[in-house]
Amino acid sequence: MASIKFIQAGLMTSVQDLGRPGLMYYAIPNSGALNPSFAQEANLLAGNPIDAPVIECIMTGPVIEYQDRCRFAICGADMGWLLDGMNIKPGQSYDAIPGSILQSRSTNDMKTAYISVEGILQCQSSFNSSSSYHFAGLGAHSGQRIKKHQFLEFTIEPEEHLIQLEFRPSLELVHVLNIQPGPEFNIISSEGIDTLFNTSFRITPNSNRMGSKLQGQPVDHKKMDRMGSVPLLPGFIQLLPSGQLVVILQDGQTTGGYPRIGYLKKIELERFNAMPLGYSFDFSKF
Amino acid sequence: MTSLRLHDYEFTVHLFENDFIILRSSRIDGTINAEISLGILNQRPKFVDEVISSPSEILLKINEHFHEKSLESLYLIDFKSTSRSRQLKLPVFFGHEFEWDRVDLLTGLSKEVYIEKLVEADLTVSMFGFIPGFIYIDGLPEALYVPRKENPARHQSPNTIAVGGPYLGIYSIPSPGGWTSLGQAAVTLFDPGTLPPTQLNPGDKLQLEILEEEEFINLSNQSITLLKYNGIH
Repeated sequence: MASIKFIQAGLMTSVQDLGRPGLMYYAIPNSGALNPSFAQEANLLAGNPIDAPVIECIMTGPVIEYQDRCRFAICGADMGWLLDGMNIKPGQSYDAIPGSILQSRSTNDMKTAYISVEGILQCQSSFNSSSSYHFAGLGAHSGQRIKKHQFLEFTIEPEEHLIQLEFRPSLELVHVLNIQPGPEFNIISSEGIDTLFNTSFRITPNSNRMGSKLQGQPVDHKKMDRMGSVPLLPGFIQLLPSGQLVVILQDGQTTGGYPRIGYLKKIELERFNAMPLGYSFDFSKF
Repeated sequence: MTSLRLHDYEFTVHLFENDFIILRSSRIDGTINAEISLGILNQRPKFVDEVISSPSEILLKINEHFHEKSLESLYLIDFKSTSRSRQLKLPVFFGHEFEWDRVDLLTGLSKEVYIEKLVEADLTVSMFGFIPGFIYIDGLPEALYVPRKENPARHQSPNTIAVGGPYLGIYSIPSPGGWTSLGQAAVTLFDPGTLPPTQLNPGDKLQLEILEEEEFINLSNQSITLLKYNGIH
């Protein structure tokens, strides 16, 4: 058994795994890591199964005090990680001893980082997933984020895991995202299409695990009739009557009443989710 | 394939690369779409990862197993089995603490008259969404419609029965809600600990039973499910 203590919780730190697929009919979103490639890579490096629950850090990392000797790995954003005052880089595994302190500094690197501690995290699970989903109180800690002074415990399974080492392209920050036309793409006017493809957008602080509001010139559109609720998937881009764009993320609602002008494929959504606040990017033409 | 006939309803097929499919029918019906969606979900075709239902369309999230002929497998689904509706009694307490002033203001009906008409209504489970555990119920007479609020402020406690536009709804889990609350069910309809999370099917008929406060407290304390209350296991 290894245990860790959160001296500081960080901004939006929560337990995530690869989510709870197959339940969107019941309006239960997938949830799961915003950047599943980082989560899986962290697990591989820590010697865990790739779908094991990990600690998701968004923008500001936590301060962790290790209570026991254990191995851990960090993947994703370089949040200026320090282990007992020494600089450490993401993408590697490290050994902590009782009393070791892991902390991070402010960052302008990517948005998300994942910490995997060797062993099985002892926490609640809902529908076979530990992913914390705040809105419905599902998963680890009844959906709550990690709090200051909280402890997490990991048990080491004696059996060897079958580790699948597969090549995964590493995720890097890009300035151009590929967008696909969505079901209501035609609501955008020709002027709006010009704005969409020829101006830049930024991620606003008005973002959480449910969705991310973009800042940019308003996207002009034809008259928006009040439409009923229609299905939504993570990666869908909604156009609000104000001309603002919203990207639906892993904890997003499964239906909504705004036109779905486009969507991001899985890899593009990962790239989007890795972008820090204020980061400027363009949408590429189809 | 540009059209598809499921459960005697005609749908147009809109394929978005190998990512998702939208099925649309000319007739807007949340209950029928939810029944068809449940039929597809229960069949679990290999090429489908998610099924999302809404009154105007059904979305299928597809995966690498999808190919040209995949949709033909949907013809084999027996939708009759998921559209077998049951008669279920739903025990409710309509307390004074709910929003009867707002109901009166917007319908012109007193609490007593409103409840009387509600109990007489032919209520049918329509669909699930927009948040986990939310159940849409169809069949409200027009006189009982109450528009949704502009700002969803009120915190709805679990099993709150509320009205929003033409639907009656049940908030199974606590959440902020923009619907006008009327009462509270004494049985549970949704359990986040089990799969599937609800045993209710679209098309199930609901007959409201009015409880006195004491009956409500006694029944609530037993924490039983709607199906168990109706003797169905």
